[in-house]
Order: sequence, then C-alpha cells, then structure tokens
Amino acid sequence: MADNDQNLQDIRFVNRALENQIFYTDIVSKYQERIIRYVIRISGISYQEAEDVAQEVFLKAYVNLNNFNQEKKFFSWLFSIAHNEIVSYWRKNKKRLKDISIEGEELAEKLGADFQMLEKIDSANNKDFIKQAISKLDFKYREVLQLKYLDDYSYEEISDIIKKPVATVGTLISRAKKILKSDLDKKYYE
Amino acid sequence: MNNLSEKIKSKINDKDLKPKSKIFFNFVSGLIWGAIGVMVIVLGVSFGLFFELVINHDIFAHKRIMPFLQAIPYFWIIIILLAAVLLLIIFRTTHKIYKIKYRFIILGLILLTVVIGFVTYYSGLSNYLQGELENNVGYRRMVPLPQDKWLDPENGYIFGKITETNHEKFFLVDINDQIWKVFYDEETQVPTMVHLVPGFEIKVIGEYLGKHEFEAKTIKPGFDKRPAGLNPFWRPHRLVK
Repeated sequence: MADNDQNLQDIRFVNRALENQIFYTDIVSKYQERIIRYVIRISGISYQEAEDVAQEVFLKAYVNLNNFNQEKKFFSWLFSIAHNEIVSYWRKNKKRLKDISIEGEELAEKLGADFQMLEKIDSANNKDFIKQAISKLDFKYREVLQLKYLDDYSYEEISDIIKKPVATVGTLISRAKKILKSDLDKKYYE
Repeated sequence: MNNLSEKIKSKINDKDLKPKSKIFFNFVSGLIWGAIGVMVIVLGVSFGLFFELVINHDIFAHKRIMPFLQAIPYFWIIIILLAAVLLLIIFRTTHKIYKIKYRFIILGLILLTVVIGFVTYYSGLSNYLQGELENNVGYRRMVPLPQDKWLDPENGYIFGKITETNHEKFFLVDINDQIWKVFYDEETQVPTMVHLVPGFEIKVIGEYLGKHEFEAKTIKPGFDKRPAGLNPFWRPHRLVK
C-alpha cells in the first residue's frame, strides 16, 4: 500500500477509535510488530520486555490520540511516542542495558553494501565484528541507522520521529557511519 | 484478537482510560505559547533596561576599572540569562519547532530581544520602568543607580543642572541641592550636543578641588539623551535622592 493510502487508512482508524474504543485494536494490530521490532533493534531487550514497552506506547498514544495532527503521518507520530518511551526506558535501565548485544546482522549487511565493503563483511567473522561495533554505538546513532537502513524511512520521517531537524538527522547518520567505517578500517589495516 | 491487543484493551478498561479532549491540548498549547510570548517580552524589556543603564547612564565614561565594574548592571544580565534559559526549556516542550536548528532559534531569539530592547529603550519605556523600579529599596540595593556612581566628587564624578555660567566657570546644582563651582578651559572635552547654559543637565568628569569646587576634564549630557518627540513615555528626568 502506498504511503498516502496507508496514512488515510490510519486516519480512518484513529477517527473510529476516537468514536469507539474497541476499534483502537485495529491500530494496535497494525503496528504492534513494527513497534516491538523497533524497540528490540535499538535497545536489544527481550521480546517480553519490548512488548511491555510497546504496551506503554500504545496506551500513551490512545490517551493522546486527539493530539495527533491529521495533516502529518500517523506512523511518525506513533514512532515518536515509541522513541520517547525507549529513551526513558533506556535511562531507567542504563546500567543493565549498557552491555547488551544488539542483533545487527541485517543492519551490518546493509551498511556493508553502503560502504562498498560487502565482500569483506560477508565473512562470518567480520559480520560479528560489525555487529559488535553497532552494539557499541551510542543509542542516538543506532536509532537513526536502524530507521534509515532497516525501516527505510526518509530523513524527513526520521526527523518527525526523533524530533530533530532534518539536517541533524543527516549529521547523525553520517557520524554513525564514520564511526563504524573507522572501526572497520582499523580492523583491516591493523 | 492477539495477546497485546487484548492486554491493551483490558488496561484501557481497567484504568478507564479515555483520550484527552482536543480542548485540553489546545489549552496546553495556548498556555505554552502564551508563556513563550511573555518570556520573549520579559527578555526584550530586560534588555531595554540593561541598555538604558549601560548607554543612558554612560557606564563606558568611567575611565577607571573599579567604577566601571561597579556600574555594570549585573542584575539585568542575570535576568536576561535566566529568561533565555527558561525560554529555551519552554521551547523544547512545544515539540513543534524541532525542525528548526537550535542555533537558528538562539539567533532568532537574540534578534527579537535586541529589537524589543531597542523599541523599549527608544520609546522611553525602559526609562519609565527604571524610574518606577528606583522607588523600590530592594531594587536599589541590587542595581547600581546613576546617582550613586555619578555623584562621587572624590573619584572625579559630579552631575546636576547648570544654574549660572561665567567665563571659564559655571555653577551646578546637584540632587542634594549642593552648589558646585566648576572650572573649565579650552582643553575640556565638550560634545556639540552639550550647551553650557542655565537649565541644561550635564555630567562632569574631572578633579575635585575641595570646598565644592571642581575642575572639568570632560562634560557629558545629562541622563536622558532621547529626543522627547520620539518618546511617548517622556517625562522630565527625576532623580531619586
């Protein structure tokens, strides 16, 4: 479904949920997996924990449903709530989450293609290395990389989700790639 | 219906959650933007009062470092910084201006502050407010007043109104009704806007000769330099004793 149709459908769902609470499950069903995946990819927490975070996200979204500007994209608005929820979850559990390993295989492959280093990254050893490097990245960098390379969101959409100017999104992505690239270069030229 | 949907549905029912009304969000948004408007005005007017004290009270005329440092209106600098920080915090809560880079917001804020500050100053509003504030004892303790700094003959500063002029000297009455005999010569710096005629208010930098006599090195205009015609708040400058 095209982006525009998606949003029209979302707006229909929102309006129906505002009229009758039981229709809110349509929104939950449509987005729960994407939200849970988003939470897991960035924070590395278990599926169960991610489901708890997602539950909070959907409850907050429900209470604030009238604050959604229907001229904007619903998923950006929902993901921005998820972003805030993960940030506060991350802050509360920073110590525990610091050393967690992120499942970054897919991201490693996409970044490898982007760095034109696919053949090097293809080896299992190097994949592990780049996964580790992604895990070590700062939260803010990991998030923009995921939104850009795995969810295929545009800079504009990422800007709406993380509430930062479009130019800042670009800067974050390029810095994140630079850090990863320099880690890879070090590995190859050591 | 899947597990998460079920959980959410029962949470909504258990806690009797309802979407907050549109009116609530409009009210909060109005409150935030109202606070932003008020803070911008506070910021601009504070800058106007700062400017009033710095320029109109000639703090740069102090040649020595200590009188200059003492004349700086730190109070208004602190108010300006506090208002700016508060404003930036409120801005963050709006979640509406995130598309604009922080440095542009700060730049815009500085421009707006300067514009409102100049309007406050040139309209005479800052002069009026300063006059009102000077009646407050607490304010007078915190903010150096011109009369504290400009009536300090031992350190070379006097001000007042000319009552009489003579060849190479004139008489000046200060706010304590003290008459001063002031000597000057061709080396005394007198800007063209200053007229040494009875009734003209001036500030004098020079040397105390004793016995209410003073030698003028520099003569400056009195405290209100704004043209009265441009100044809707204009009133004859009254100084607090």
